[in-house]
Amino acid sequence: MRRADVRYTKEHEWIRIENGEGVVGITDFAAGELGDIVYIELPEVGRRLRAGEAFGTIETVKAVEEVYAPVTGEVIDVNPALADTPQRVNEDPFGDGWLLRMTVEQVDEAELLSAQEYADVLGEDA
Amino acid sequence: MPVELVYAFEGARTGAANMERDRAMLRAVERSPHPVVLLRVYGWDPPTLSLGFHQALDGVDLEAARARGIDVVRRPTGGGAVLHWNEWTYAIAGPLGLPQIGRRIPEIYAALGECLAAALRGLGIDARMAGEGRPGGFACFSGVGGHEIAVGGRKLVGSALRRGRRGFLQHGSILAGPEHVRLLELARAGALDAPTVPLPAPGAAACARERDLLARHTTDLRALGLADLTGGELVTRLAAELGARLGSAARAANSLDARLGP
Repeated sequence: MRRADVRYTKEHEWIRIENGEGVVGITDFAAGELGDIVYIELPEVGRRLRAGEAFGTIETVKAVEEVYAPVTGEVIDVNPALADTPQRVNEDPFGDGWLLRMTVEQVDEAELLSAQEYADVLGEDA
Repeated sequence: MPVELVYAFEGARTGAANMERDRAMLRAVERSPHPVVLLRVYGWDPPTLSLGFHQALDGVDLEAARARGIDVVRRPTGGGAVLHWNEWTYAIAGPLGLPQIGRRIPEIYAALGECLAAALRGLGIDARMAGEGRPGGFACFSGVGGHEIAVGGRKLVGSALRRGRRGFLQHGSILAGPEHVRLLELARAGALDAPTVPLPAPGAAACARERDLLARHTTDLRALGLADLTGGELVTRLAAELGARLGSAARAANSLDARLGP
């Protein structure tokens, strides 16, 4: 079930913002489209990211894809479980499969979508 | 909007130069104001072992590679290791979401795989796209992935993909002779027959026979009676199939230099 308490990007990331911090992941749609994930490369803690900047890569058995920062800020933490169990992103993209936590310094509201707006981008029925 | 299709046979370069060029193809199609698909066929000099983007270098015996004059390079794309030695490599870059090619990873593989298989069938061999597969060994050619090309069940073409925000790059190796099997001399003990990345169970099980699969379950153009096929003819046939799919007239170039920028 897609969550209503997070914001989405057209590039299929999500971010849940609370108290100036954001938890970032990829959506159920992106995880399903990628298929079985075998490796995830995440940035170092402390790295500064600009909204829209590629911050890591996800590798499936046959493809590599970049993931992009939804907002501007600094990486506070990355999900340590993904090094050994990247398939968590397939299994629980909005929960255990989160990618990183970052400070939220600048948000371009026009670039962050509601669940309904994201469904519209995907051409889904709500 | 019509899709421009430009192609070239570019001869051989080093591994680093080839991978930079393939990355430049992806950048070029992503920044193009109109939809353009770029295709090149090329070789490698010296012979080069290419690793998938996330494959660990410690699976490779670098000393053994050096002693044989074999270069080692990392690809921008996923998948397993390939020894590029007596083979042709193709690279295709284009925008995501073309109705003729699609956006999703399986769609892109299927669309380009159909073009590749048709081009190879035009040479008189029974090239077929594999169904859904799930390879995952150290070597690309030890397993047949979904939409990769096999002849009589033996893998002939191994492909890998990168998706950027707006474009895709797919490149792949079309075996011309049996030299690729010498990858076995470059893999460290333990790299073969064991997955190099955490894999779902079916992939891990398939790895048990990886060494055997690489040696016996592949084929090449020479074994198929196509030892004389040139890179120029190959790229022309592939461009014709891509052009038919895109509804575009394929335009030949001496190289993609003018498209790739500095």
